[in-house]
Amino acid sequence: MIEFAKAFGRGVLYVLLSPLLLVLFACYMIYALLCYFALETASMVLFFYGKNFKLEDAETIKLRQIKAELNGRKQAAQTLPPQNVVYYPYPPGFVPFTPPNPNETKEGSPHE
Amino acid sequence: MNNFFLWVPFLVKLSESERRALIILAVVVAFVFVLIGLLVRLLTNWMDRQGRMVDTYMSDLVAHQVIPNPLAFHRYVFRRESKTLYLGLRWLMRVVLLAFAGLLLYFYGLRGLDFHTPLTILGDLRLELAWPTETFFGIQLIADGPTITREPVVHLTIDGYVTYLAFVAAVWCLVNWMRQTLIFIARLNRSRKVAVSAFQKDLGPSKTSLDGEVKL
Repeated sequence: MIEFAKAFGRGVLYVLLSPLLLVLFACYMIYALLCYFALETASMVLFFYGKNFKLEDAETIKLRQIKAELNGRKQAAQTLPPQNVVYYPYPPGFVPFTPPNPNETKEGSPHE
Repeated sequence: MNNFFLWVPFLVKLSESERRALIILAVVVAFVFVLIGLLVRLLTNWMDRQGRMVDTYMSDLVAHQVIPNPLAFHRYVFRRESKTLYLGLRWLMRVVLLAFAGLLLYFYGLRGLDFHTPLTILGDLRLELAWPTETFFGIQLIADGPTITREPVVHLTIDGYVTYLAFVAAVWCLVNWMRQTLIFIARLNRSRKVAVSAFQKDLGPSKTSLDGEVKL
């Protein structure tokens, strides 16, 4: 019953307000038409400059940059730094053969 | 007020049939208002659902502080929704403008500016009904079902096809134009509702416990 009364009240209210609402709606429809013609002209100009009309704007681009930056930081924090691991090229105790340097033997010491 | 008291003795003298007719009239009027109320409710629910789209694209912009205040919020929504409105309307308008250009060229080139023909063709689609009425309190009220006095005539000619095509295009354009406009209004309304609350900080009891620990 309350729902019925509410629907009835809403009906009465909107019937009374309908002229005002219709005028407002007509204004918005005219704005939509003007918006269409203005942006269609802008779109045509952009087309001749080799660009497309997009929904993307400065704010969206800025948001995308911020998100990319945050993702980069997150990934950098997640990747582990290189640990100090000592790699032995030879088994412990093994001394590799190093041939003598011929320059050292030839020149020798000048004070000899 | 005086007029009302002049009517009171008259109301008392109502016959049984008049009283019934008065009750039926009241029920019909109430039913019409309830129906309008329900339709308005359906429309507002649909508009609310359409308005939620604002939350989808604005939440990230507000969270990352790209939009700094409520005024910028509302301006951004208006600018973006104007673009969305254009994107929703553009192909519709292009098709309809082409259809009307075709109609004008057809009736200009082949029928020698005879624009009376499409109007006659559309006028012949009308259905005329005769509603029997009765006078009740000086008001003409419908008393019985209608009888058909004129049936619609469909013109299956080239003129007819061109006119019907343009008419269907016009109706389609009008319906979608209204739909897109309603979506635009719904999103602006949503923006007005949430522009301030999106930037409000709440440190009330729902957010903080008694020992001062902030619940995030």
